[in-house]
Formats: sequence, C-alpha cells, structure tokens
Amino acid sequence: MKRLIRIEWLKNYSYFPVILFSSIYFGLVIGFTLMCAQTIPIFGISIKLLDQGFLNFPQIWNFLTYFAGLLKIFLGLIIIFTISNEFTSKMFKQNIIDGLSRKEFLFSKVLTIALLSFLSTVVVLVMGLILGFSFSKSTEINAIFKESYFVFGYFLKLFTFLTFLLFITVLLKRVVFVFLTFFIWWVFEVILTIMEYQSRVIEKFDTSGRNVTEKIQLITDYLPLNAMSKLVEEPFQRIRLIESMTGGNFTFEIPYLAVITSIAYSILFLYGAYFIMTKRDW
Amino acid sequence: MENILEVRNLSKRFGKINAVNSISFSVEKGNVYGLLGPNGSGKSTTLGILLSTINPTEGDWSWFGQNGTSTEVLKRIGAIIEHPNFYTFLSAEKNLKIVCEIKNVPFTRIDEVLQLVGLAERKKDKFSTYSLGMKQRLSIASAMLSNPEVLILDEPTNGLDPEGIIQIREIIRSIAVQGTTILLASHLLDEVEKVCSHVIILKKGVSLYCGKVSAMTATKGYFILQSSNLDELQRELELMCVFKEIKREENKLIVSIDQDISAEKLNKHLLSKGICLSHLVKQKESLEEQFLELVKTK
Repeated sequence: MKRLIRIEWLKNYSYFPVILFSSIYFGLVIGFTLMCAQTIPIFGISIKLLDQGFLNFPQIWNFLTYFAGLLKIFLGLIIIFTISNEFTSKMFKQNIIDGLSRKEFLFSKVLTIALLSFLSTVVVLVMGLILGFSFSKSTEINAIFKESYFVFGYFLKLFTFLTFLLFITVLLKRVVFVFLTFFIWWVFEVILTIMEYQSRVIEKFDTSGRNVTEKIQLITDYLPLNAMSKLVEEPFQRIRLIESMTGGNFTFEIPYLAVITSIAYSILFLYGAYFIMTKRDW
Repeated sequence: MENILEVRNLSKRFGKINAVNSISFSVEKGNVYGLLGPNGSGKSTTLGILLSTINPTEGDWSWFGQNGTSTEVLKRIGAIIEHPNFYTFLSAEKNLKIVCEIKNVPFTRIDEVLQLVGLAERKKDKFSTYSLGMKQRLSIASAMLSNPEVLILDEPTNGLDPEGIIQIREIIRSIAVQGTTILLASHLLDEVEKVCSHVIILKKGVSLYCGKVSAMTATKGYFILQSSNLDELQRELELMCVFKEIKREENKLIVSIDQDISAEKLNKHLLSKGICLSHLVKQKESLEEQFLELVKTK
C-alpha cells in the first residue's frame, strides 16, 4: 500500500491540474467557512448565519458539510484529469507493461480518492471545531458529538462521488466525454426525480398553511447522485427563520438508506471500473 | 537450450479481422529474435498479448515456464511498445522513479541506465522537451531498469533520423552482448538482418518462418553467368546435375546451386568443356530476397 501511495504521489504532485484544483478547492473551503461569521445575502435577505443558530453545535456540522459538499466538483476535476491523463497518454498501458497489475492500478486510484476525501473531511472538521468553539452557544461534549454523523456522511458523500467519476472516466477516457456524460446523467436524475415526485407525492397543507405532506420513499432516491445528496441534507429546513414560519421542529435522523445505497454504489463503480480495465484491449 | 517464451496457436480477432492467426513460436535464452513482417501483419498485437495488454481470442503461451503473463513475469521483462510513453510533465528522473517503484527496483539504478543510453545530463529535464531520439533512448533506459532477462522492442527505430537509428542499434547490440534475450519487432529487414540471430516472419497474422537467420539464408546461393553462347552454357550446366534451377534473364543465366560448388571449380569445369565465361559471380540471397520470396509464395 505504501508503494502505491508513493507511485501516486510521484505521478501527481507536480501535475498542473492537481495543483490548480486542489488549491482552488481547499482555498474555497477554508475561505468559505471563514466567511460564515459574516453576514451573507441569501435569497435577497441578508441572513446573519450566526443569528440563525447555524454556528451552534450540533447543527454547525450539517451546515458546514452541506456547503463544503457543494464544492466537491473541484475534487472531482482532480480525479477526472489525473485518471483521464493515464489513459490518453497511454500511461495505463505502460504501467501494466512495467508490471503494475490492474488491481494495483485501481487500488492506487482508490487510495487517492480516499485520501482526498479524508483531507477534505479533516479540513471541514477542524474548521467546524474552530468556528464552533468561537461562536457556538453551547460547547458541551454532548452537543459537539451529537451530530458527528455528518462528518462521516460528508466523507462517504465525497468518496462515492469520486468513485462515480472514476468509473465514468475509466469508461470514456476523455475529459470532455466525462463532463458531458456527467452533466447528462445529472439532468436525467433531476428530470426523473421531478417526474416521480409529481406523480406520486400529493402536497397537503393544513389550515394554518403548514406543509403536512406525507413523506414517502421515492424510488429515485436510489439513483446515485440523489443517494449522495441525501447523505447530507440541506440545512435550511432547520434554519430558525423557516422553523418559525412553518412551526415545525427539526429532529435529526441518520439517513441509513442513503448510507447503504451510497456504499453499494461505490462498490459497484469500483467493480465496474475493474471489469472494464480487464475486458478492454489496451 | 532453455526456452524463455513459448507461444502456442495464438489467435486474436478484432471483429472480422484476424489480426493474429494461430501463430506458434518459441524464444530461446540468449538469442536476438526478429519479429518481421509488413505493417499490419500482427506484430504489435502479438506483443500486446504477450505483455497482457490485449486479451487473446485463443491460444496460450508461457514465460519462463509459467502459463500466461503475471505481474511478476512482467517485472523480469523490459518492453518498449510503439511510441515512448512517459508522463510528459515529469522529468526523466521522476518518470524512472515511478517505474522503479512499479518494478521494485532501487533508485540507484536510474543513473546507471541513463548512463547506458547517454541521457545522464538531461535527467532533470521534462520529458516533453526531449527529441524523439532521446525519448526512444529513455524508453530503453526504462526497460533496462530491472536488468530484464528479456527485452522486447517494438519498432524501436521508427521515425528516427539516421544518427538516432545508429545510436539505438548500438545500444541494442551492447545489451545483446551482455546475454539479454531480445525480441525485436520490425518491418525493416535490414535492421533485423543486422541485429538478429533468429527470425520469426509474420504475414497477415500467420507465421511463415521461425528459425535462424543464417538457416534462412542458408540456401547455397546462386551464380550469375554470362558467355557468348548461352544455349551451349545452359546445356553444359544442366549436364552437371548440381543446380536446382537455371533461369535465363536477358543475356545472363541465373543458376541456383543445389550441391555446393565453388566458383573456381565451376570455371575450371566449363573451361575444360571449351566454354569461356565473360561474367561469373557467386552470390548468397539476402534476407530481403528470402523474405519477399516467403511472403510472395504463401
């Protein structure tokens, strides 16, 4: 394993897209979290996140992991560019000829993905602790760890997302095709989700205008991108402003289904990539 | 002698095209083999299969007595395929470090192999700044990192200028002298003839000949004869019964030898019969002529 990490390190540390996208990514993540203490405009209203209780333990985890998650495409770019380069420059073939097995090649990429996801998780974790201890009303151990699921959920979200990109990059090899396919797939999932929602969910409101729509399990929740986004749900439903409008009280539940689905997809994508590598002629 | 590679009935089909059609051959330790054939005869496909990058349709092979191509086997082989493949944004040294890690070879080998191909001074430069000749030499350096028992070269001089070609050949020869088995694919007969001791000839995926270069050119050669009276000369030659074939070409006779006979002896014999030759040359067929003969007839 150390050998594979050394190989990946040698391959990547001076590759321009890796330097570019990783500095953009980590710069944005850190910059964004530092901005959180400031007033930011959302939907035309200036909301001071601090006042809305976002920076309180435990919801700070939900908040940070959700917004940091929006930037994951930059990590995705690192994976797409490095893996695509292996194929377009025929280095995959050369690696095989030199004596790297297909399994080792794939495993080295999985290690890179795991490492990137881990680094990002650590950054978010550290930023969360810094912000939390500076601004949170409560810094009890219990409150800090109560929703630590989000840290794991965030890691899994990144990992699954990157294995998905690994799979389509191995399948299509060229960066442009990967972008196109990813975009088309995304639109496809959105359309399917809307279609299912409209045909199966009947929205209900009670007399005071509160949304009391019954929650049902959507089949489109099992689609890969949906499953990933369900790992860390948007935090607006727990914003004070909205809670006061709808009168609802937010209770957090671990999305076990999304966790299982995402893990299953990760495994599926990795097997799929391995299958393509062995069956194709290089 | 020990067989390093044995190939049995290897076939590869790409859709309807038979790129490799049931070829068999073996490679003995310590020899330099030429895999000879025109473009599209299946050389690269065959090497691709033997290096595990292409899945065969049928057939099997063994390296060092083990079936198939394992990663352990690949580490004992040095191979250069088509174009030199390296990470363009890395220096020669870093590229070779990656290969060292893959092959489990200490980094100290890097300077040794770069010395061998004369690139030691450029090792810190990015691969993308190299000329084609240098890239090809770096490929050889990379292949030599693990001190391979077998070196596989696919068209190593393709696209190089004469100086580059000479450099590459010098390097190949110096490697061959150390006793490394070499398998060299080429469409250049001249190259195979200069470098190889054995040859495997492919045409449209079929192997036509497999054996020593010297055995292939071992037909005893031929005479080119001229005389004022060709008819008489031809009659006399036919009476001698040591020739396979007598062909008339313009004002010359081309006579293939069946039982060895020296030019001196022939001349003496003809003189004793009262025939004076105005032109007498004894020649051996070159590999090129043999090759064209083989490719034409089958």
